[in-house]
Amino acid sequence: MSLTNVSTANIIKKQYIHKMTSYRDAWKSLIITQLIALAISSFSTGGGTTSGDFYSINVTNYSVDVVFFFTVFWAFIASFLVTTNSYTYEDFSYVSNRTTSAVSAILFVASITTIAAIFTMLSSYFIFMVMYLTQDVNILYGSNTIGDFSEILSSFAAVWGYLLLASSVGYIIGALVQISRIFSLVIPVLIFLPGFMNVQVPILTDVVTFFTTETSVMMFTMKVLITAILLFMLGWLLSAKKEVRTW
Amino acid sequence: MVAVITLLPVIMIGLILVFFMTRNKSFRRQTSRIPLKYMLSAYVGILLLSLVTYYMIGQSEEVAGREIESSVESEDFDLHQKIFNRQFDEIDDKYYFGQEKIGLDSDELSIRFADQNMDTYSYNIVVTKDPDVKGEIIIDYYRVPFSINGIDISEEFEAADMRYDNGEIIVNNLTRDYVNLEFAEFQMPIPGSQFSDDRSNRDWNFNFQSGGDFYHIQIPENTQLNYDPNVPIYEFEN
Repeated sequence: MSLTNVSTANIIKKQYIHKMTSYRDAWKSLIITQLIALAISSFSTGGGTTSGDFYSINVTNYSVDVVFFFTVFWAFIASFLVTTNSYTYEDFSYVSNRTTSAVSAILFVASITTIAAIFTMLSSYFIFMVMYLTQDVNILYGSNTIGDFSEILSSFAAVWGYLLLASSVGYIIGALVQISRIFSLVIPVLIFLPGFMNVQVPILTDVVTFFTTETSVMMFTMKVLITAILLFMLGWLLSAKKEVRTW
Repeated sequence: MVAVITLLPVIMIGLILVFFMTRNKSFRRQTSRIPLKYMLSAYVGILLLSLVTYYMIGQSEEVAGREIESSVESEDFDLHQKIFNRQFDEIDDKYYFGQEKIGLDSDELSIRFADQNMDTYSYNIVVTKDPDVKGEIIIDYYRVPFSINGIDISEEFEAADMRYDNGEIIVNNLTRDYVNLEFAEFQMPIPGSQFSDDRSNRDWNFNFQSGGDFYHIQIPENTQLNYDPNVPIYEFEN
């Protein structure tokens, strides 16, 4: 019988700190992913050309979109990996159960997602400076700034929201795959097959529309938070059903 | 955008390869020489340096164009129709780009184009003989914005220069010189644009609207007007 009394909150806190400091692959992959995206974004992300009898106009676009999409992909993969045995077994270095392990993992995923969103928004400044220093042409009106404070704040809310959604989806899929390996086949088929067969799945379209057509930042944040919490809770419940660790 | 979409799968495959390589123990031993804290510090440092530099340099002064409040789709036709139906009072102020008044000391007025090459003609000149106009020529200038991605860049194109000399208006630059324009545009992130009305005019297909220039020349009713019938001058009489 142990003489030390430890609270669940204390264990979660220790495991959370452990994850934040020891899951180096997640941090490194975030930096590498964003560096690759920044390199691509530095060469512009699009543009257009038009010409007529007496004119030719060329516009080169710069944006943080590539960084955003790469980070969404990273958030999905990183959250998926957090649910794998190689990561969850590390929790057994501490006094642990499935609940503390899952809660600390969810807190870790939410934290790195928030940091990834901050990095993504900061990347805007880097890309803007690249455009400013390398493009010896006029900048189109309205695009000579990254945006005012409210625009930056709403962009951050959107970036953070989609990253949180991607990570919560990654987490639930990861939890499902840990329950049964058959999900690793079924889920990709369910996601990609309609696209390959050029078939529209109404529920999928509705889910996408539910988030992308929301024009209120507050409503969007609420929708994202509620959805992410539900998905994380579901993932937690699923992981709680797993058997005890086998050595 | 198309280039990005094309590149995405390649990059994703690359990322997966990098992931598996870093999971490989021998590879990890090599990369682990750079501690994470240094990588993270360097990356955050670069981003923060960009942030500080951005606010130090302030806004770029080399800005082209001005914002258009509403879409100019089909407005070229709208303006054209109002001018040729002589509904000048009904023309929206957004098309009005200025007025010039020139003293007229003759009963006869000739309009001559300095450049006779009409292949690249891009102006319309409408002349009205107005009984209210006495001893002067009034030139009103109307223009449909020439816009790129919702930004009016009309000012990049020179307006026609009209000079009066001894009973004759000489129109210069009627045929526009070939203009080669290049711009850079920084767009807000896709997810952020769903909340913004002001900067949501980003268009994946490169939104472009060419404009049209119209000069309305008003002269006294009794003035004899002379011009080459082969040039685009349209005369109205009250």
